Amino acid sequence: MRCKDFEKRILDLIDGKIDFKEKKFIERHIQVCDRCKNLYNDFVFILEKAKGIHHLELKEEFWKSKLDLVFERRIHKFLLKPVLIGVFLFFLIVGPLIKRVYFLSPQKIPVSVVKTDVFNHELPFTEDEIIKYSDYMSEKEVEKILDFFFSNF
Amino acid sequence: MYANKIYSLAYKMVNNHEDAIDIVQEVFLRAYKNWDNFKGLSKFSTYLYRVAVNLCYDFLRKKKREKKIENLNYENYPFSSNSNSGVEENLMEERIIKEIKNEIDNLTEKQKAVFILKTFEDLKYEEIAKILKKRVGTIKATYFQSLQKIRENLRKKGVIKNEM
Ligand SMILES: [Zn+2]
Repeated sequence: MRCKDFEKRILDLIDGKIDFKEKKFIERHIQVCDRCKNLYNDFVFILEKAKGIHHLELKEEFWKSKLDLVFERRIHKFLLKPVLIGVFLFFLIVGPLIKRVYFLSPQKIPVSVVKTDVFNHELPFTEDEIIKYSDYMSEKEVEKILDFFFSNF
Repeated sequence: MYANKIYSLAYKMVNNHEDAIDIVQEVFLRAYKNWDNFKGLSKFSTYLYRVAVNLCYDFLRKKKREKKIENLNYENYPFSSNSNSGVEENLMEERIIKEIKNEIDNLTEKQKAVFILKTFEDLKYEEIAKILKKRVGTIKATYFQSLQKIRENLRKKGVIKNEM
C-alpha cells in the first residue's frame, strides 16, 4: 500500500467502514509508515477533541415561543396586504364623498368661482351681499373686493 | 428535535447564539412557506439542512463584507505536555477544544459545512452530498481537506506535536 492509497481510505478507516481484511492491510502500512500513522492519529485526536465542543440544547418551550414569533410575523405580513387594499378602497369610495363635503363647506369654496360670481354681480352690493360673499372668502379677498367696491362706488 | 439540530449546525457555522436562533427561525419560516414544494420530494431534514446551510453561507458572506472578519486572536500559548495535575489537564483540554473550535471557524464556508455536518451531526457522506448538492467524492475530499487544514494549523501552534 502506498501513502496515497492510505489517504484515500483513512476516512473510512476512522468511521470503521472497512472490512477486516482491508483493515489488516492498512494497519500493516501504518506500522511501517510514520507519516501515515501520524496523520491517522492526528485526525482521530482532532475528531475526538472536537466532540468536546458543546452547544446549548434549547428547550422545546423556547423554540415554540421563538417559532410562534415567526408565525406571528408572518400573519402580520399576510394581513398587511388586505389592510392596505382596504384602506385604498375606503378612500376610493369615501374619498369623493369627503371631497364633496369638503367643497361644500363655505370657507373652502374656490376663490375664482366666488370672484366670478362677485365680479359678475351687479353693483353695488348690498351690505347683506357683502357679508354673504365674505363668508366664502378669505379676509384678503374680502378686502380686495371691498376696495374694488368702494373705488367704483 | 429539528430546531436544536438546525440550531446546533447554525451555531457552529456562525459562531453566535443570537444569529443562530435567527437562522433557525428563518429556516422554519421558509419550510412553512415552501411546504407544498418539498413535501414528499426529499427528506424533510435534508431540505431543512440545505436551507440552513445556505442561510449560514449568506450570513457569513454578509458578515465578511461588513467586518472583513477580524482574525480571531490567538494567544500564542505553548501547549505544555508535561502537566501533571488534573486541573491543568482540564485546562489543557479546554484550550485544545478552543483551538479546534477556532480552526473550524477558520475553514472556508464549504469546508465548515461539511465538517460540521459530518463530525457533529453524524451524517453520512451521501446525506451531506444531497444537502449540499455535491457529489459524494467531492464531500469526502472536502472533509479530508478540512481535517488536514485543522491539523496543519494545530501543528503550527504546537497543539499537535507528532512528527510530520
Ligand atoms: Zn504512508
